[in-house]
Amino acid sequence: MRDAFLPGFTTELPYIVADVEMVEQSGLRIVARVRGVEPEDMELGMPVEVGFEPDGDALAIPVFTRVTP
Amino acid sequence: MSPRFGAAGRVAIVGYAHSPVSRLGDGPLGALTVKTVKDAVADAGLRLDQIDGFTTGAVFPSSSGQTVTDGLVTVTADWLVDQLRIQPRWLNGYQGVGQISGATVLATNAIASGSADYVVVHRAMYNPPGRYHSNPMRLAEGASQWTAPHGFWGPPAQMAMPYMEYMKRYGATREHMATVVVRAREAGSKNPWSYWFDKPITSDDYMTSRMICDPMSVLDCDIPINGVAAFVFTSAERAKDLPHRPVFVAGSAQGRALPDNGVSAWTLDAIEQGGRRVGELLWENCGFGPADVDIPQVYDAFTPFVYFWLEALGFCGPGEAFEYVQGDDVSPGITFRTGGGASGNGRMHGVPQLLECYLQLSRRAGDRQLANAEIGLACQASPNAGGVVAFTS
Repeated sequence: MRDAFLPGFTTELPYIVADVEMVEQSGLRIVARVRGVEPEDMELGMPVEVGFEPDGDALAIPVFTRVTP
Repeated sequence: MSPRFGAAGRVAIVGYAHSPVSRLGDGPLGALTVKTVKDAVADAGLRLDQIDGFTTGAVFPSSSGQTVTDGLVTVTADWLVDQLRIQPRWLNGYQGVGQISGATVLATNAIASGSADYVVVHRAMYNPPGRYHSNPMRLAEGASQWTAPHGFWGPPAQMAMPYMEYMKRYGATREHMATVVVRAREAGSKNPWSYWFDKPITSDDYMTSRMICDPMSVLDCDIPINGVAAFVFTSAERAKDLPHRPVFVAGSAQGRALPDNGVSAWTLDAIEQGGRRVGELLWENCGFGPADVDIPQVYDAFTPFVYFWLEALGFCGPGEAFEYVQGDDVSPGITFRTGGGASGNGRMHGVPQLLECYLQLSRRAGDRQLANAEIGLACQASPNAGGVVAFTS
């Protein structure tokens, strides 16, 4: 993402979001940020694992990091 | 192969009008619509009191959350007939994706069935002040609670995801798309009504344009504008008495929105599978195939749609479109070679595709008239979710 369509994202730009499919359930997908990967290193089918970041005071949101298979 | 569509060749476009376009409009959109519809009826050689059917797809395709006021931000067929003081025999609105193709199919069926004799299909497009897809929302409800916390919002982000998937899967690059956009802008630069009239660009302009959601830059999205177009339809029989050469509806196909349309990312697989289904339906309904088409007006409001449509309709194989469009031998009647489509003219939804189809097949395309153009397609939206109508001269 290089553009903020919603309030509150401008200072974070640019960042990576990916469409992540769960290994545990085929077809179950979630769009979420990917941390710690350079854009040019993103690949289709790249294995990732979930973690959670605080988002404001009341929420935690899933973010993904790359794992070595 | 005989067409499965029973009304093939029995309904025709007989006239049109396109308003001037501007970035923010010079007055109420409804007033411009009334004028443009009257111009289209006159162009067809008819009087307003002869028009007994009206339809449109009136959606305001912005995800900005703006209040949608009929007559200002959108113009429905209901609003239009009230202003024209007409009580039509047939009045309808298309609710799905692919508003021009959908409304065209409704109009065609209404005339073929005798529900109406003369139908106006109009499309009124509004560009709000501020940014087209910026949404001031502070609370993400419903399905958007899953995506909004990641700033993932609106059509450009949604379409960037399957386009990135396409590039990674097949090896396409932004340099490949530069060919499409430069050619579209070249065509649009010669089109008097175009927002981009007399403003061609170079490959370098495209490659250095501001990125929005990789791999999409601002030039992969058509520019929002204010404008109205209207087309007049009637039966092939009645068309014989009218001034312009009629252009006949040969068949159509429509997709359907994905279950998560509007919130989540589309996958390339879903676009390809849904698109192939639309392609199969189209050729079955028309009784001809891609090799017969002279002017394929594929949709290009987001540029990857050009690839998706060409592959869905079988002009080339899956994953081949980005190379197919590079050649100088590619159909001279393809969207970005003559009319300029949406990326070459501005955000008029499926109007540029339908208009170029009509102008070429009715021999009204002026300087860019192609010799021997007999069969055309007008596509709108993504092939899996939108629609396509085939026309014959």
